[in-house]
Amino acid sequence: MRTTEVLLVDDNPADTDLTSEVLARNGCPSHIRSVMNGVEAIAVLRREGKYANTLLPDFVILDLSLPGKDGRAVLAEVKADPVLRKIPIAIFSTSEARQDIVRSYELGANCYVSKPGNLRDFISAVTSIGEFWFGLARLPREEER
Amino acid sequence: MIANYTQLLAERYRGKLDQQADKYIAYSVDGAVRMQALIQDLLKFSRVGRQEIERRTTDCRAVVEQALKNLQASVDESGAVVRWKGLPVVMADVSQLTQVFQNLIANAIKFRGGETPAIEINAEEEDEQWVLTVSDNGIGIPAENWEDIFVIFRRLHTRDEYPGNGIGLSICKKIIERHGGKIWIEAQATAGCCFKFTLPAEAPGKSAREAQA
Repeated sequence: MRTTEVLLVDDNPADTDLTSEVLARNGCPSHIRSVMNGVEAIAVLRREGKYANTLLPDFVILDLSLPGKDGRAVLAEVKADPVLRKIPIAIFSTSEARQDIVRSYELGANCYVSKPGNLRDFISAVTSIGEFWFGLARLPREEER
Repeated sequence: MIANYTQLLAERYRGKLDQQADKYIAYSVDGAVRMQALIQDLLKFSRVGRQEIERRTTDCRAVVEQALKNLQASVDESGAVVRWKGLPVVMADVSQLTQVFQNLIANAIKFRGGETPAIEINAEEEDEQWVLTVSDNGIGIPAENWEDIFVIFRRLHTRDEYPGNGIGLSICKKIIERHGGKIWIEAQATAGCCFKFTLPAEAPGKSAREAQA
């Protein structure tokens, strides 16, 4: 299985670290890049600036509440782009508000997972995301994007 | 309590476990402190929504002076110059209106640019209401965020750049709207930010003098 390039967008380093740790521990063959705001996330996806020579992410885990350009804006921008829209995006947010869930799907999110407040559920949520998206689901190959 | 004990843990055990543990402790301290601030802010926000508004004849000059007194430390520390003129007498809840000015002035100081903060407060009467302006010479707000910046928890900067929970302006909006006014951001010729809000001029059906009596 080839390595999955994962882009993790979250402004809370505690959540980012834990998510990366769980994904890595479960043996998902993934390389995880994390950024803390929306502008940076778009730069990675468009391979601009210091990301010019990096691999295009195969999968994005995106928080909604980000400083400046927030998760909704990132989601809308990616899903409006004919090339980038093929990259699956999982929203991973503490919000359990119906409007956030519905709005995310309207904008083209591929799945919405609420960030659990306790460790056991957090680990199980991230494990499930990893198993499904890097194990079971078939993703477009780079040359098909 | 959680903040106290995680901080104690950090002080007594930093360097005695391993690097990973130190990182977990740092995250816990940070999270606990942040949660505490968040709860305080949320309580403030919900109080503003529930409390009865005590509308009284209120002199905006006194309100601004009180707000500055509450912000004394940061005004002194930043050397901020705050000027006001033509501030009216309005019908408003004194403590809530103080909160509005205090939040706007505090933001003007917090989001200052390289220069010493210069804050101008003034007012104009328009169609039986007052339009109050608080403008500054700070870093400003991109026009695309002029509306969503009033949404609770909305922040434009990382916590490393500027701390805070993104509640101050949502409190201002709630207070002004409960007073029957509105608040918005307007373009200004110079750099910085220009907040405007409206307040009813005086008690309906009463002249200002009668309202004061």
